[in-house]
Amino acid sequence: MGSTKSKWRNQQLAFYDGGTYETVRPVANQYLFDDFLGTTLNADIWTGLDVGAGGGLVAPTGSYVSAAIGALNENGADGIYGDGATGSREWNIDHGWVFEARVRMAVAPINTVEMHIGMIGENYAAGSMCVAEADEINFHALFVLDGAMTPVIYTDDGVADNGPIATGVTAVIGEYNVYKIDATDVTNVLFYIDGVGVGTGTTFSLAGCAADLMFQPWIIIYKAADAGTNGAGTFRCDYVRIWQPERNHV
Amino acid sequence: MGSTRAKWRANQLAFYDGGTYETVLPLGNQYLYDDFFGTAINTDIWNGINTNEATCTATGSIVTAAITADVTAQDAGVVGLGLEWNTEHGLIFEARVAVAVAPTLDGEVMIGVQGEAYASASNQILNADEVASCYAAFGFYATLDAGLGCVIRTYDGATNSGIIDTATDVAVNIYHIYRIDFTDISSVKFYIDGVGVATGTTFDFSNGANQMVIPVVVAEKTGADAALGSILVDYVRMWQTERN
Repeated sequence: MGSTKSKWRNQQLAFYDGGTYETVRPVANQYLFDDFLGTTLNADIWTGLDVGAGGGLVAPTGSYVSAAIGALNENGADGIYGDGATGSREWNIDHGWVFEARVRMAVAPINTVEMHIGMIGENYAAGSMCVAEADEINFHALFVLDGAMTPVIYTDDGVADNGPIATGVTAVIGEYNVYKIDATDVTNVLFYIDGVGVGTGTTFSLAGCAADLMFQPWIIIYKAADAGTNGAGTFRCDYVRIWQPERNHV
Repeated sequence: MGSTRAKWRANQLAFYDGGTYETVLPLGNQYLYDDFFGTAINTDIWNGINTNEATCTATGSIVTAAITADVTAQDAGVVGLGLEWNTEHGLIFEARVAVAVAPTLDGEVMIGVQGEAYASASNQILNADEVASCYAAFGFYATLDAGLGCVIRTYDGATNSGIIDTATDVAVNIYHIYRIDFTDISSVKFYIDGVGVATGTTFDFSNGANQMVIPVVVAEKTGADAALGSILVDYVRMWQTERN
């Protein structure tokens, strides 16, 4: 635990934990925070994915949500994403959203399994949501982990396709990291792990997205349909916060 | 988008958007904030009403509520479920709303609070005066400026303000932030986009003690005619400086 501290970015006030760099309270016009308290995933905010044999999404317990990919050789997708399945993506790329989630791996992704943490600008499409093994999500800003447990960054705005860009961070099984993606400046989206800027040698622009393209959170462990290999991987997500200093509809 | 700014009213701290005057974070003891994320209205807080042919849906962080031309009683919008807000405890109500279709004929729009459960087909405060206990609200009705002139009406159980013109006309589909401040119960204040309106009138809400109210943001008609009306509700915030 650290002291409460404040920051002033883009003329917006936010309070954060000076020890962990968790943004404990952004003072933002539009704000989503889910601590996953209780024993039911809030279906008004989240869509739970449990695709493929084995593994699956585990209902919240102990204030986190977890999901695992099974030892399967087919497509698998387990985790949580926004309500985009029904066309209700709620975060405007041109209105400066910031995404933050605290996530840890319990079992490292192996073979073709990839862990995604971040935001995507499209709806879920069954069987075609790879980022690392294939380039199947047209609009995204994501941290991605594979068996090396070294998070890398991928972005794509339909024009510039970046990634994998190394963060220089090695995640440790059973230890949480705070992943933050700051789209305050759509021409220079910034990535942070535990409060420290990563991938800073690369300019990640999402300015190629259509104006006012709506994004949604995407925290999914994913495996392509691949008859040749089995997969595995398990994560826990402690919280998700997303905020925006300007409302969606002006 | 404006800078985060702070204000100090009734000895209470709140942060607001210096550009739009949206109160982004009031540090109130009791606080409700609904941005209408997801595709369902939170039925733990709201009654999302759509009586008869009326419609009320949530998507894209907006509630869209409309009454149709059918000659039936219709109500569309969000209404609080319980009388959970005490007008004597420093209540402030704020909602960002756009009129999508101006109310015609018997239709009207109500944005505010009232001291009793919402009564379908008999909850008008402009075309009729049907809320018996108390209310304080912004409203729109066909009589003024083709349904786009914003008015205020309050009734505390004793004093009825009558319909007061705010001298603010809105444009269709343009959002405005409507705030009602009960911090001083003897002089309730009304604001549109951070600017005080109807300031020449003193809205006294001091009758009774501890009057409890619910939020009401609806388009409604009694069914007398083919009235139209539609609203878009972006968010509702309510807070109190003292617990119930």
